[in-house]
Amino acid sequence: MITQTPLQTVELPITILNEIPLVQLPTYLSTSEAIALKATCQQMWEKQPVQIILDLSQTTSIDSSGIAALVSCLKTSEERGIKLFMWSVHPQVITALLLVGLKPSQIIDSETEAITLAGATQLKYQLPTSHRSLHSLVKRLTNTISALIGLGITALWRTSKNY
Amino acid sequence: MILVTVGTEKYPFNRLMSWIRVLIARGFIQEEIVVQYGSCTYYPSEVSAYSLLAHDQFQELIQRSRLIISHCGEGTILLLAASRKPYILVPRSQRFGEHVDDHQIELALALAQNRVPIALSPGDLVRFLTLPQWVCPTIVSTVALCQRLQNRFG
Repeated sequence: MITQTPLQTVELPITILNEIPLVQLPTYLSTSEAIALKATCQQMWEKQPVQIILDLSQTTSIDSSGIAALVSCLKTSEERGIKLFMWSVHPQVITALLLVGLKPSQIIDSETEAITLAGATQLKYQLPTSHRSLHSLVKRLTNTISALIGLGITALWRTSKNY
Repeated sequence: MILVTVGTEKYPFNRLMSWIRVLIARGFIQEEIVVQYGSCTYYPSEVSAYSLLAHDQFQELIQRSRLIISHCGEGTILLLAASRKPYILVPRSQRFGEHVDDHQIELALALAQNRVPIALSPGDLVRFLTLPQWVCPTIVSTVALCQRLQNRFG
């Protein structure tokens, strides 16, 4: 006997200001959330807004269902003459969009960089593992060259002393 | 009128300026904006901008404003708390070169626990604009603080 657990119903928060809808996407955009996204966009398309904004500021993880939903929403919006823009897209999500052939520059408002809640709450627990100077190439090169010069001077001095 | 203020830090807060520009461009803000841009090297062309403001001038703008978008500086927060005008705080981030460390983010998270409006993204600004509210930024009462210090240091 096969039993199927129904997918959890997800509702995406929508904010409408000056007749422009802003949809907040969740941290993980996978199957349930992808279905909710398509349903939400369907709802908004019926109202024929000029544009729709997708807020991905808290979306740090996306799978193939999520990508497919975003692509589908983009294409359908374009067909209906509705502009769709994404805000605050995480670099990992941008990479995923690039992999499927989308051009982020055309669909992402570039000046919307945000701080993710997950990143912000991790601040307290991050301890430095090494001094910052260890990661500086200039400092490392300076140290190496200075050491070689010092060794060279020492070698010359010892040589001249022996003679 | 919306007042945007970034304080007098030596680090620019161009990211907030960019958010304001995007909100204007997308139509979310359709009213007068006055910006105190401090050390920012950029501000939107559609605003009235001042690098620094005298105290009286700043107070007058606060009184004239419908709501205030501010960086999460301690001094500014005290001024906003006294104003009783709706405000939202946008913390500066070390990652974007906006401050020497992330103490503003830590402060913002602490204030958020007391329902003070905080914006980590431009989407948060839009959500605040639909329902602006004034919240007193009290983290701990004076009595509770004194008790904690007494318990800690005897």
